[in-house]
Amino acid sequence: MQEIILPNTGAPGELSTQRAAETLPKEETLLPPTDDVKPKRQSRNNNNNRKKARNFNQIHSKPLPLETYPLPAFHPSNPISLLRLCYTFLLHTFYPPSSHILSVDGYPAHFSLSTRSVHVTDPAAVKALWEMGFFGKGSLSRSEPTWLERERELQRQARAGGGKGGFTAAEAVTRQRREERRLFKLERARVEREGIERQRAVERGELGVEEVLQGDEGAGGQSLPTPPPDNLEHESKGDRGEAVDSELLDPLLAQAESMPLLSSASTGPPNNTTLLSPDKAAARVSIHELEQAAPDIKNQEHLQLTLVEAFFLSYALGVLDITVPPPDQTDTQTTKTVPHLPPLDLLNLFAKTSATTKTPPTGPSPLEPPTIAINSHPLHARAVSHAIATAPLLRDPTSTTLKVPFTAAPLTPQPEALVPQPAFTNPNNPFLLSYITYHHFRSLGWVIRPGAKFGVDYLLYNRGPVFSHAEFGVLVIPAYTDTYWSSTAEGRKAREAERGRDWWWLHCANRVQSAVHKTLVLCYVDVPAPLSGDDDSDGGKEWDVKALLSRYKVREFVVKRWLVNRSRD
Amino acid sequence: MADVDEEEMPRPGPGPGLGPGPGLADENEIDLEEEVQDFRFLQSAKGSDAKIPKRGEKDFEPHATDLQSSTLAASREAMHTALSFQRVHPPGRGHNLAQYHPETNMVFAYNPKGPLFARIGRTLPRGVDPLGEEGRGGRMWFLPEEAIYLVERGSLDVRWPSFAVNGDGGGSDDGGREEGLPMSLQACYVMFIGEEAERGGQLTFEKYHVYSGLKRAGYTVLRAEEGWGGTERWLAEECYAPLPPGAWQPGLFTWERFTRFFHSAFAGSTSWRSEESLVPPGLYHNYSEIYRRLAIIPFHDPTTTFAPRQPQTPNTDPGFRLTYNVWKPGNTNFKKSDPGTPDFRIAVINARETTVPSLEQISSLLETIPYDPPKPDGQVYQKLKHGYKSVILAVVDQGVISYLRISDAAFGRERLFERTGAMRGGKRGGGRGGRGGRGGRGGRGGRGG
Repeated sequence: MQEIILPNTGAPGELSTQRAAETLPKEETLLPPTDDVKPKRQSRNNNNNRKKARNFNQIHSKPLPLETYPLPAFHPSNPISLLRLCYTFLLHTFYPPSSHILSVDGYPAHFSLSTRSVHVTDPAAVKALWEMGFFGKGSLSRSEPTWLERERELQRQARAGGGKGGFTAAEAVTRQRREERRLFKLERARVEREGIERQRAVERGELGVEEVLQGDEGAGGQSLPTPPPDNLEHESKGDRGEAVDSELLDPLLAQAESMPLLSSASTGPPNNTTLLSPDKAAARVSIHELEQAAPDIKNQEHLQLTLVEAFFLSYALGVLDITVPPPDQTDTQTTKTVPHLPPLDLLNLFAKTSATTKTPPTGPSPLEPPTIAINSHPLHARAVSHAIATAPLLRDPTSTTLKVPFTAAPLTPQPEALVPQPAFTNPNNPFLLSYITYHHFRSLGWVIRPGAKFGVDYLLYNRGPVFSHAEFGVLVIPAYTDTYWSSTAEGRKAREAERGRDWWWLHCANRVQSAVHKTLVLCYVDVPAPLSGDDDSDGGKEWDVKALLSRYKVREFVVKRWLVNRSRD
Repeated sequence: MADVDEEEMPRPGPGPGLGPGPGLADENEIDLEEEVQDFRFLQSAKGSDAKIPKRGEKDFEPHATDLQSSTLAASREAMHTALSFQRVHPPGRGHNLAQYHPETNMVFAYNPKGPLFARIGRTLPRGVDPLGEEGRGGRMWFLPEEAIYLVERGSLDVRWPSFAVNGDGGGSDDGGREEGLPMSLQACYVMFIGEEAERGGQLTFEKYHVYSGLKRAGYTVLRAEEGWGGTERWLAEECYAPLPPGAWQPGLFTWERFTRFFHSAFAGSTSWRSEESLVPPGLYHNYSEIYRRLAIIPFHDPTTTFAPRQPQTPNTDPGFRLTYNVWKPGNTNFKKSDPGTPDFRIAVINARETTVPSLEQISSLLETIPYDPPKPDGQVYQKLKHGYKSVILAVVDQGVISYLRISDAAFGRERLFERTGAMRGGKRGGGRGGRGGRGGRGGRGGRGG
């Protein structure tokens, strides 16, 4: 029996065209994949859109940045398939292709202490990391790194003399939608005010009741405006998966068609073009200057990976090659780099970077690039403005320098040292707790992304943010069931900082999640006792990252609000 | 490309002027109890039609119009009229006389009349009834919270014990029982909640508040024995997962294991040092193999938490204990003698004295709940939200109750990478070893996304 494991989304094949030279057999019933020829069946977005529709199923067909090689199908009725199967089998045996073929030495990335993150600038790496697993965030974009494309679109529009077309970024769509909604709300408020005014006038006796009724039916502007229709959504349908849009659009359409409150006459939907014209005009004005120049733009954006994501890619998958600047050079200099750090040291580094020390060390750290130097002491901008505000007045108004006594200190706590230490850090580290949760959900197949915009720690997506809404919002709560934390003195002290949260916090989180149609998940991470004797046995016992991570335990609870009146039947 | 979450959430409701306010996105989340009802609808709907009075329209700020102030005055007037209605005990057969029993801090009545008493109160069996055998069958006992609820509602007339309580003669109309002084509602609160602790009882104001709220909504509420002190019970077997039948696990020999073994034998064992990477570069046939290598974090699996050999007592935190078993109002299977499985289990929690539960507190609470797994062939989201064990926490914050349903969702049992695609249907290929068995996937291979 031949076990066939299909690719996850059924998109045409797992094999890219670059390796056609290896003559690996393709899936016979799936279309050959190419990057520039899109299969015909993807044009279910059959609108008269100018640009090519993006097939997310094809783009995001791989859930992780690794390559798999399924064996071809075996049909007992077709003898050739048996030959192919044997051929592939033997080929895999003697010339095994690598899963890391796309990132032979690892995608290059570098660790940035000032932003507590890992930056990826190589365009191929950025594309691969976003498309295969939705890792990271564009530093100048909302989520997907689209800055360069947006800039090019602006230039193209300038050269073409305006007009919509080509690439429409999600940010522009959101901006327009918000503008429409704002105008709609203003209109609604205006209509309500007029209604109240008329009511007052009636009571004062200035306006007869018949006139009020006439006013209702005559002037079209007295009715409540309907919410803006979804022309905008239709235009940008090519940018998003269609299934998601249709679910979201229907309630809006239904709402638009319902009768407004006051009278029968209703204004038509606000003219879309009038709403768009301010935007277009502004665009035209601002990019007239760019009309002449058509140089290639240097990409200013990088992909920003959180420490958790970076460690996952580097250790769990092995596709990321993180370079860490040594402690005696700042971020901007890249003259020399340390060799590739082993995973344990990388873990230590990230853990130390994430831990906030209670008492910030005195004096500036040499790692931090000085923002402003006054009196030859590097200071943070906030400290500088504070110092200037409290400085004594100048005696001599013609003097050009401002002498400020040095009173401020760096505001953010700095980690003690960048050099990794052999001793393992406290297991009660926020980085480790976050990482354990992240790794747990990734290993189950979820796409997990930071959830700060909804007030939670993480969001869980079934396949990715472009396909559907996140269904779950995860909050990470540490748990201390080990006897070390309750019996020993230092354990109790370490636990003190983690007091139980109060109920109002949980109610807030739950309400926010239900307002955005998500389910709250409390993820308790059971923190193990610290490893004993690691200070003494420096090189004696080799700590294994896998063993360290396996000591934790995860338990999830789903929290939902229960309504008395709705559960009666 | 776009973050779908950033899109506008669909707003239900008929239009911008009606319906819930802009902050409430989901109609299901609106609890009618939180809105002040408009008593005018109550007046207009009196008797003739049994519709639930709707909420009125909400104005958000004073308009200084006569229309608004007259509407407000009319609503207030309707509310005063509704509340000023005098409630009396119906004379004759409808009058339920009950007596307070100070030793057990309970109330007993003889054959009370009314449909309410089908689901409240109980008769004690022989030997347990403190008043002995005589008249035991018709004597219904009410717990403190039941007593307060009934008195508040006006269904029961509770009297203090009279001095001359004798079963023979007496010369009074009730066949020997003299009526005592009526017990006021205030006195009920004092005896059943205020002095409850001194008499060894367990009723607190929070627990009573939850009880009366649920009863008013129509549910049947009984005490769960774990949360009221008393004798410690062993954890029943139903609180654990059932043992799996049989020992032979199919799929031990799978095709992928065979190929991997074969390949590794030939290509030389790539020394899998776990220090370098969990997924070393190599040949993988599918993503499931990769995901299996990533699974190193242990998680709590409720399906493998089996009953221990020795039955154990639960060590629950006193602030987090099961308080009530609740049955739905439409549940026709409820009988006082044999209630059946409760529909919900409520644990009453004081928000001012506790914090968000720690893992030990919530896990020991869930230990006392019977095991209730979701359907194995359901959708992923439904299974996760249903959970394997669930309890409802009634968090009472100075009189404001919030209900939260906490369920033990084992995400680790739902492996998304094994069920991608709408048409997978749980097909597993590795049932039999060797080749030449089934014909592979047939025509399924070419499906789109």
